[in-house]
Amino acid sequence: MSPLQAALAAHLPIAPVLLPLAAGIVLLALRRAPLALQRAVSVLALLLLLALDVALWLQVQGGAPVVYALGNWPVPVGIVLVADRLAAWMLLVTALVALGALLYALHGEDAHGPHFHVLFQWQLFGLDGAFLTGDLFNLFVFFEVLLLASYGLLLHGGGRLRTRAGLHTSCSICSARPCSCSPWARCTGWRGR
Amino acid sequence: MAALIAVLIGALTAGGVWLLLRAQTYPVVLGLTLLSYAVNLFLFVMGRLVICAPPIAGRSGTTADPLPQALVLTAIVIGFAMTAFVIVLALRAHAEWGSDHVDGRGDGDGR
Repeated sequence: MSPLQAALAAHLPIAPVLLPLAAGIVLLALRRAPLALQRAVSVLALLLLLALDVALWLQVQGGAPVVYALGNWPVPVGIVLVADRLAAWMLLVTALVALGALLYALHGEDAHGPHFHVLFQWQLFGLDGAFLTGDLFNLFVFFEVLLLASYGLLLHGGGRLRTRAGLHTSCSICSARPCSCSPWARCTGWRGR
Repeated sequence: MAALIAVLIGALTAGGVWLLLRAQTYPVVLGLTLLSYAVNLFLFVMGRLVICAPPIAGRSGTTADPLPQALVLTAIVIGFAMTAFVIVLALRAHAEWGSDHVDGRGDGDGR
């Protein structure tokens, strides 16, 4: 195995999180570029993500979860990503569903507003992070990342009816969020004991 | 102190729910804010109420649980962003529907 391959294999668990983030940043820089170029970058990034997910899925098929410590900090201080078989399956399913959704959006839905592909990639960033994270705190953070991106996608395109529906949905999600936080609080309270 | 905090959380929740049911965008936003305050307080209290103790894990002696504190800090920041988002959305709905009713109907008095 060459050094490059070894480095890739060692950093594979974080790649599905970083790739959509980087793709979103690149797409944000390309927001004035022609739509065809944005579409090409978005689809290419998603295909690459699918390949990474397959590679990670193959890596964890042995049964032992892969633990990736960010910055190589030890566990009580640093943040860890944990890729077990369930996480790998969920990443794979997410990428497949996202591919279908993106191909459908290329039919014309993404032309209604300026930032569709950026929001789409950042939603994938939040989803992949939520599946790979190793602790409750970062699960919460990644959940909020994906929720914020989904609010943007919800209102993508604008218009009277969409604004009203978006207001309803945002209000109900905002009021459901506290309720979804409560079990979290129970968990942290229980763990703190 | 636990009873006082519990009453406070209950009062904030009750106020939040009452404002949510007003069906006008501005009270709804205020109600959501009150609800998120209540939940933040609830999250905070889940780490047990400790007075004058440092939030350091893994030491002997009296310490406060740092995890709920970190979680609440993040929740406050995200709640800020969400409030700003819903306010902008409400302003846009008002501009497009000419009414501050959440369903965009009526003359904006919530009926």
